[in-house]
Amino acid sequence: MKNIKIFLFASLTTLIFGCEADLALNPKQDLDSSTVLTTESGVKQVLVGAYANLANGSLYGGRTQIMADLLGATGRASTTHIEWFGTFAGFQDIYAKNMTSDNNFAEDLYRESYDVINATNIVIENANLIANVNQRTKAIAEAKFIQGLVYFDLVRFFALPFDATTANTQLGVIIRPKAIYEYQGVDLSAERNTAAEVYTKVISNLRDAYADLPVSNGEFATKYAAQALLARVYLQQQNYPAALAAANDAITSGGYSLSSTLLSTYNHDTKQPEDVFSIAITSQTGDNQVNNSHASTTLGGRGGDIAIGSGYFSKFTDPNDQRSKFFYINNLGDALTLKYTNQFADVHVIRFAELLLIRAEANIRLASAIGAAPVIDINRIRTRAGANNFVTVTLANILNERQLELAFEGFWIHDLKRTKTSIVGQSRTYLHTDPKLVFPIPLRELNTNNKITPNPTY
Amino acid sequence: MKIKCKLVMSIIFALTMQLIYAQESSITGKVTDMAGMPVPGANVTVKGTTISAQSNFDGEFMIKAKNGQILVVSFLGLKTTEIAASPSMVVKLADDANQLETVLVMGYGTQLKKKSTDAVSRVTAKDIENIPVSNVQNALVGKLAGVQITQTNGKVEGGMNIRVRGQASISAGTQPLYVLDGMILINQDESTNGAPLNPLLTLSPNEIESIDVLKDASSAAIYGARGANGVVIITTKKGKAGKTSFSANFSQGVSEATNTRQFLNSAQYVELFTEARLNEGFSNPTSPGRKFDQLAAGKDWRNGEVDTDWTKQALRTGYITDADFSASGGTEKTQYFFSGAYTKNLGILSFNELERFNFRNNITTKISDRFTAGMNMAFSRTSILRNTNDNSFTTPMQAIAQSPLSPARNDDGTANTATQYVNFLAAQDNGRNQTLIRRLTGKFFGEFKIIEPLKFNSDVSYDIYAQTQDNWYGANYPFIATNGEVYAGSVNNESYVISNYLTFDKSFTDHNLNIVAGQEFTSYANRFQSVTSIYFPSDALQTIDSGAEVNAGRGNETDYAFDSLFSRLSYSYANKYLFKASIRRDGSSRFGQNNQYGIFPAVSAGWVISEEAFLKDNNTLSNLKFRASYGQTGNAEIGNFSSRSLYEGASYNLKSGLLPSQPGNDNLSWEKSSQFDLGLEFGLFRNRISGEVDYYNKNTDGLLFDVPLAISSGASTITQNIGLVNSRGFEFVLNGKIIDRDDFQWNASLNVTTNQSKVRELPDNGTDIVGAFTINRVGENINSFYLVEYAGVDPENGDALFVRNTVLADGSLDKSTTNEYSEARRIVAGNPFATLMSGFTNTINYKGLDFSFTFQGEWGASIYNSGGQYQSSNGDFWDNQTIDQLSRWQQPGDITNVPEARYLGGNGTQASTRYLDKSDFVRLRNLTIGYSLPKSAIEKSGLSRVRIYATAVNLLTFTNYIGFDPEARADQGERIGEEFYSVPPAKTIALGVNLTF
Repeated sequence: MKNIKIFLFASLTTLIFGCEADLALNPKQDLDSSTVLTTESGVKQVLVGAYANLANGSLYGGRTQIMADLLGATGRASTTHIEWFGTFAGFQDIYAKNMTSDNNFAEDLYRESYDVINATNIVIENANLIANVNQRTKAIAEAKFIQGLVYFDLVRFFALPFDATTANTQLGVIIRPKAIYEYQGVDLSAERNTAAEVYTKVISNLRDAYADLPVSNGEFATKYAAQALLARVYLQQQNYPAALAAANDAITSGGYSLSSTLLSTYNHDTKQPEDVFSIAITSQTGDNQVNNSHASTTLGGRGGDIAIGSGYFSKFTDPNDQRSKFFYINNLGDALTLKYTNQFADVHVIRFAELLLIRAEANIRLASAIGAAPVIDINRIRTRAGANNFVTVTLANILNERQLELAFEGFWIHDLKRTKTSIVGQSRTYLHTDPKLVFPIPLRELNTNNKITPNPTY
Repeated sequence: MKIKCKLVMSIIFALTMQLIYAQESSITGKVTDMAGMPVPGANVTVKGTTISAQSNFDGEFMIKAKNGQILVVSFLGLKTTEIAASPSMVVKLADDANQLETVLVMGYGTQLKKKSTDAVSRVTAKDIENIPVSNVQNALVGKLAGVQITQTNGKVEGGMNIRVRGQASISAGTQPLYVLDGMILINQDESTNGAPLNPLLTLSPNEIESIDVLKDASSAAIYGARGANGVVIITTKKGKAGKTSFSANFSQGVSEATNTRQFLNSAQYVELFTEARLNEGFSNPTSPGRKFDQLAAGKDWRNGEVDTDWTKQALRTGYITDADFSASGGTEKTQYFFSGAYTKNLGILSFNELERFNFRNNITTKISDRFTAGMNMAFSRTSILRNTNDNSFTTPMQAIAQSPLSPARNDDGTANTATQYVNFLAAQDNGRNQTLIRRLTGKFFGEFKIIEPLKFNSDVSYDIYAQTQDNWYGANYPFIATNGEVYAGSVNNESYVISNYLTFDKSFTDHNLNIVAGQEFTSYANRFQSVTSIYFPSDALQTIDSGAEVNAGRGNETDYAFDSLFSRLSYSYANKYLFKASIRRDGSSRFGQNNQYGIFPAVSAGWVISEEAFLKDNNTLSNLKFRASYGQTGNAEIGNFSSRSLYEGASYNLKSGLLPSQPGNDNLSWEKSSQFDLGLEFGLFRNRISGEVDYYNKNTDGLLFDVPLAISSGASTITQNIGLVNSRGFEFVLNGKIIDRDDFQWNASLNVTTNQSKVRELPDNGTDIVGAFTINRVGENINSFYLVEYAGVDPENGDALFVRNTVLADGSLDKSTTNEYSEARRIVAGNPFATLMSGFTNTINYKGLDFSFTFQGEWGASIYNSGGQYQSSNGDFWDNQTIDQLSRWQQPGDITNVPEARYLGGNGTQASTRYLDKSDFVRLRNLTIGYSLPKSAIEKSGLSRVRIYATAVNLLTFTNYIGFDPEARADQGERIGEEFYSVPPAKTIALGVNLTF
């Protein structure tokens, strides 16, 4: 009978425990939005989160850069600057210029970009929680810089090229002017803004960033990073005077310099004087996708999905140019660039050599020599590469130099478009305005946004 | 203990004997089952009198009867036999195949099938034992009407997909709730490599007595918010009073893939790719130093020096060993069951192994007349060698993409790394991926009879699933640039359930009333942590400590709780009119703050027409029952914190940050299933033929959806309760005792299930939800394939053609063709789920011989081979091609379905119905032949039964499916109905022996 008493007691206690049970559990890895957006530290953390999002492999962790080279390649064995040997069908379709609207890499770029845009809008709208006015201004400026960067790449990839001779009323991408917090029962459909409107937004953001950012800001955006990016934007718009002014300002006041050797230019994980803006990668955070696509398996890559093509080597005029030898051979006999041999290295977004190339190109197009004569800027780069110096330079020399120097760094297609250069592809020739050189608005967006217009041919 | 009990019992028996002796003319005898095992506790009565006796532990009985009087011998679960009394008689009782006396296990109680108003499918131990598969679910295939069981693929640890009456959800969980001896089992997939790892493979079939699948609302509503996908109730074996019975089983089997595909050999590869390159103006790969030389890695492909069959590298002959034993018995007060089992399964996939042992101890003891208590306790250890998921270069099956020109290994035996893609052999030689699952499930239970007919049950159960994952990547492992990497992860899932319930069970005259009411609390917690380190001094050092840098670490926790009240009332009148009602109220931490509690009621009724006077003595129609039920259940598998608006950590350059991770929805609740069931059960010719027909119609409303958002909004999806799916169909079961004699029985059972799972309502006013290859569209099947329609090849130029399928002004579809893929629109092109399923089982016993087989068939599903764009792409890239690509278009006038070979030409390689194929199949799922040695041959050995047997799984497959196998589906990501370098299932033949003593 004693046993029964114990049993009854035990069951009674469990009964009581059961009834007292608390269903109010909280997640342990996530914070409620209400606790994030009511504190100063929460808003600051979201800004860091936006940088983390930039470091995503689909964005400046490297695929943004990779796709610009893939889309710009001719794909013809005799002329292509890169060969695609990888298996990602999405990349292969970009390389072959036969993308479909469900291209996963185009979609990733699009989605991640808008994640960044919303996060930065959240920062801008909640920055009033940051008590210190300097810190608040800086946070807003950084958010605007980040937004300018992603809008610029969105409009370059997803819209027909900017043409200085037109009003650029072709559709660009959606501008999201406000942060979105509520998704339940809200129609989030929107039509794309025109390319002109997107460029205006980019420039206004970067100008604000330039005005408010400090010169030095660790691994985060700086004043002259904003100016350098502005130079790139103006160049894309073929607005050479503005590009020249911005590049010259960044060159003369930014405190940047070329690294002494090619080897030291790449594969470092601490900021070097040549780095204007890079994505920090550590063994813990960030995803270095340029390494992934370009490097051999023993150097952390996929074995050489992208190899250097004969079209790149044929652009060299000086056999001593170290850049023509800046590669290694993988086990399949393909030439892989030495630019990406460390999977934990930072990924360049803007480096100083580009500013010299912008200034030289703008100067020669405007027949000026603001800051320095074009030949001097170009020879600075050639000297570092061990190539013979030019006595005089032409526009063609500079554009060629640009390709030699910036190949595999995400410039190729954008330069072809702004210089209105056709691509003689494997099966046909693509004018710089060919719709196949524009990414499809992702099917995923078309399916969920009833106001958006798809890109032609998709 | 055992001896003592036996001693005591013998004394009692002796006393009884003396009493009987004192009376006149008695008959002694022995009751055994068909195998000759004594049946203790059998009831023996003299027909037409009240004289009765019970058999003792050795099956022996003594009864006051005269020679020639008819004795009626009965025992639950065995067939009641009438036999003339004779001195020293032996009564053999056959297995009772009469389904009506079957006891169904419901939640919080049991019920006789003849009084049940539920739709429940049941298998018992004999249906699933000795089948050489490494998980229990796989042994059930084809044996349960209304339950579709599909293995993902042929990996030994692979996932199982079980659909009870079709699919009741799209984005929430679709797997049934598993209840083991009353405890809700953890069924959380803890794989770390993206491919599913079946959490229930820790169960051993040899300890299972029965499996009842609750299919309708009437049976499942007692599980409330967790019952919508059906409930699988697993009951383990218990001891019976009587002398200890030991049984043991050993078997050894070999296995191989059910099917493989043929790929190009070297000469064919050279032919096709030379043509493909030249057609597109690329350099000739046969030239010295060009591609073919590179692929051949120093071998002379021109002389056919190398012709690697990569499939043979990936797949191998597998071996499976099973050994198990059990002991059961007990006294009238205490009964016990012990068992142990060992399984080793060397999979057909290279480097894929499973080794498991299980032990179980079930004990019940009567502490007093009114109080019974006991404990079921089981522990197991499962060790698995795993490969990477199907979408990974290092998984063996991706080797089929390699060129036959590439040697698999170098002359020195090392893996050839100069292959087109990473050679998985380099991964196997330099890596190891070891999963270890330690699981303990236990239940402590007590039953107290308060006053007849009221009793109180209290159960406390605990389930711990502890898994460690150790991955070692040596210095030469592909993609490792850090001189080695080691990952060590561990996850602990633990759950406890406390249930208390009262049962009132009373019969007065023709009225029979059973009421259950109780309370249950469930708590679950998950804790995960992992650490990675890199830069190792030696490949021989494979633990975290030896790495120079610890470069990654993770740790996270999650939990949920349910607080529930439940009640059920069953009433029957004269075994004729049956009624049942149940209700459960569930509260859960998973539901949004505006919707924390749900109520789930069900009612059912039955009419046993054959008990009515006008049918009672009908000899033809021995049983006829009509039943109907309606009720609601919920699906709470919606994620633990899906309702909350959340931010998660997102660090940059070692600085902490936050990013929005989930949009919130305070209204989020469980999915609500309402199910209607209409059933008819019948038996003919004293139930020699029996069967069941069910019609079911299940609507699941408030469907949980990760509703896609415009991705330009900064969020991809929001979890909402929007949408409705309907699942309906028929189930037919027909059982027949074709031959029913003492030494010859032949039973056959056929089940047929139809199912249509259709989307009825979707978010945003029925907007299509479009996936990579599938769509959810109102009026169509769930996850229908949605693809551009392939139209073959233009005979003029070899271009791939597609049907435009654009909508014309009159609403019809433009069926003209185009070679421009972007001009073609996608259409609903197939169903990833079968709409007709059938199983056909025959069991034949003839004297000592037994023979059984199960055929399984599925019709109506298709599979999309998302690897087709690489495998069958008319030489689009260097991947080896399926042999059918040789019939490519070559010159004008060629009529073929394979477009012209164009290297990087994208000629027909886009997603289309070209890579979709019907996967209808019929399989000889199991085949078993056994022979029990005659008693005379084993008498002296002390054994009571020796049976040798041969058994086979998946022995024959009949299908026109072009891919590897209709049960080889992709195991990475949300790839519904896709094949992607998937491992075909194993075909296994095993030999074994059962011993009983």
